Amino acid sequence: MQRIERTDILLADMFLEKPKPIHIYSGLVVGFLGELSKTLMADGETKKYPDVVTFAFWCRESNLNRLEAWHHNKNCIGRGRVLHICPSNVPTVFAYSFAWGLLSGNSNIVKLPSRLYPQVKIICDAIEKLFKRDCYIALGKQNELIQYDKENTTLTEELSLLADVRIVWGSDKTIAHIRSVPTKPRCVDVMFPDRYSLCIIDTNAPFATGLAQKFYNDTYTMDQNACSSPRLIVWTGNRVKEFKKYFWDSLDILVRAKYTLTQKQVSDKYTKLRVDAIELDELINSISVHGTSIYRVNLSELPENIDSLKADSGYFYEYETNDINSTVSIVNEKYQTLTYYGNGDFKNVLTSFVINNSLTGIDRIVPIGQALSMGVLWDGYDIIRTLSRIVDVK
Amino acid sequence: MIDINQIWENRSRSLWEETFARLDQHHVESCPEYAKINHHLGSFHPLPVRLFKQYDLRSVPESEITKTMYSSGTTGSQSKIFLDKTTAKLQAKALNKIVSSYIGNKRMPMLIIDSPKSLEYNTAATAGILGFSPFGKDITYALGFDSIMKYDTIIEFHRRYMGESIIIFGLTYNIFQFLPLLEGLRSSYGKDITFENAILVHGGGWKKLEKYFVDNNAFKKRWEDHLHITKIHNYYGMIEQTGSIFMECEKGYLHCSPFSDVFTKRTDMTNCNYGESGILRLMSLLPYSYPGHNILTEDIGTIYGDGNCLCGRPGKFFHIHGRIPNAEIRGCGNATH
Repeated sequence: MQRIERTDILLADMFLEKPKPIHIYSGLVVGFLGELSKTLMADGETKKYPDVVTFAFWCRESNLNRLEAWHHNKNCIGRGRVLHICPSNVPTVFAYSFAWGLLSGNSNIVKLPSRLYPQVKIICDAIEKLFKRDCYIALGKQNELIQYDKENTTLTEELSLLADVRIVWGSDKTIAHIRSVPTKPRCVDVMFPDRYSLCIIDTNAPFATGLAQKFYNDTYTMDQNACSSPRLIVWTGNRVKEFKKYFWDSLDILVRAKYTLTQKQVSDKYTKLRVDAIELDELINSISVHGTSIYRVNLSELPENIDSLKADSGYFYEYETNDINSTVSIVNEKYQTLTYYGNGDFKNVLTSFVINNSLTGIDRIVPIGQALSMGVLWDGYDIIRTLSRIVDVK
Repeated sequence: MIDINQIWENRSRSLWEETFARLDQHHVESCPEYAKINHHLGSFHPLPVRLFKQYDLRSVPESEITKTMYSSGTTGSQSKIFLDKTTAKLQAKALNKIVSSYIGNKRMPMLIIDSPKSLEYNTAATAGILGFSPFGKDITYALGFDSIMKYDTIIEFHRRYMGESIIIFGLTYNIFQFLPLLEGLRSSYGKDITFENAILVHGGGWKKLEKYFVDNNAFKKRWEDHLHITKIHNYYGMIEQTGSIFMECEKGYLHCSPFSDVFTKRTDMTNCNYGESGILRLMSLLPYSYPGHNILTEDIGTIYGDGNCLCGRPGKFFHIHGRIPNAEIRGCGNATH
């Protein structure tokens, strides 16, 4: 990891090799990530951070080989150099972004979070250690993990001109700014803006123990502020009342035992609930509070701007319906993940819901518990395909 | 309408609660936003102070509003507090009761460490100056309209009232800045200026002081060392509850007056025990024209007891520790750029 402290340091001062794109899922890269997984797992520090463990588990060789099965085209190679601009408040996203860049056969420049998270240091140390091995020296020269001040816009401009792909994680404002920075004509931009996610639960399925824990993992582990953490819960089926009681009571026990709210979070939630009482007034059926651990606003009708009513840290909007198609009007391109729980074919019902209703949003339909799991498909992109080019051979 | 004298004399819990319940009912009936919150969330929960920034909260017709007060607005937008004649009168009367129980009723020459320009902004400084002025005579401003210290005026004030009891009043932040300037005063006049018989009353604006990490005791000590002022009363008050301020006693604790009540909240919103710090909830019987009678602040404090302060004064006594710390949550959406 290079830390660039001064704003006057430009590319001339960094040693960057000409990018040498390689085949997607090359043995070298898969082997490297597999070694990274082992190195992290062997590091005692890793165990302190569940998000680092999750990443280490994700990039183990057997999982990557499983992912490869998706990609049959053997004539795909990297586009060249990927510039990753990573989010400041999720410590491990940079690692997945970097792994995507490697798996798709590219050289990478990764702008790390400006905050010095211990997770970032653990992963970067492991990467640097591996890059010193003879077999990975060449790979190391193709990749830079850097940290620089956001005020250093000149550096972002210079890096943008060298990029064949830019991956940007950020607010709409950040993305608008990066879009205004010129690139090479063929440069591909993959933007991950702020998204909104929801959860649909079919109460015709029996309540399963462990469901609350899975839901907790999707929400509270990231303060319910990850793009893929649900904020709206849609209830359907014949046993809504009974199911809800089990569900929220089980969740309440978990949250009280495992989750600590800061005074700031409490103050924000408490205030937001009053603002909602004023603003949503007639749309509200009831408001339920479980101490301060869970706030629930039950709506009789879904306002079209529900995606702008964002709260976090255990704050849910609920809607009950016999027909999930009644939610069609709220779904726009901002919707990312739909987590679900239901009987066997419920997944297919939801798939038809998205496709047959010609929705512009919802890129992922995954069971409750998998909202935060990263794959190589994200935000509606096949990431490996997007970051590589196909050589058409006839 | 509350009877200030009755509340002050009687001090019974049942009268307080009955008066508070009636006041709350008035706000439910008269402030539409408060009514909605009450309807959806139940009665008697404190209103978070941020709502006064987001909404124009009134419990009397707009035509009856005679004055609008503003928070200093250091954190984004300002709170707006709408006063009618009744509320303004209650505030003045209650403040008088509270303050005179600390410094007596006699009017004393008053030096205000502020500019008369502050009267124009309707902020905490305005409320403080207007509220404390009835205790002063020959009210003298230490700063000019240009906010520059008027050394000659201060020297003249000092000479005129040498040996007499005087009051020095100012926002804590202004008072804090004033101290080093007195050093300049000494060098230009070649002798020390001391105020042995002065009472220093200061409050508000302390949030700006946080970055200097000023300890209240060290602060007092400096005044004693430099100016020989030993009677110093800090007060804590919110613009949302002007009038029912919390004065610091001789033992260094803020005291709850008969017009107020105070609680500290844990993060699950249950009440803290004495000695345990939490988010401050303040109640006051004064706000009539706006629903500021029951508020959840963004300040952290500790209540130490009720009626057993070593100073001998009744009521709950507490300390303020500062603002709720700003902690960033996890999640995505904020790129490094």
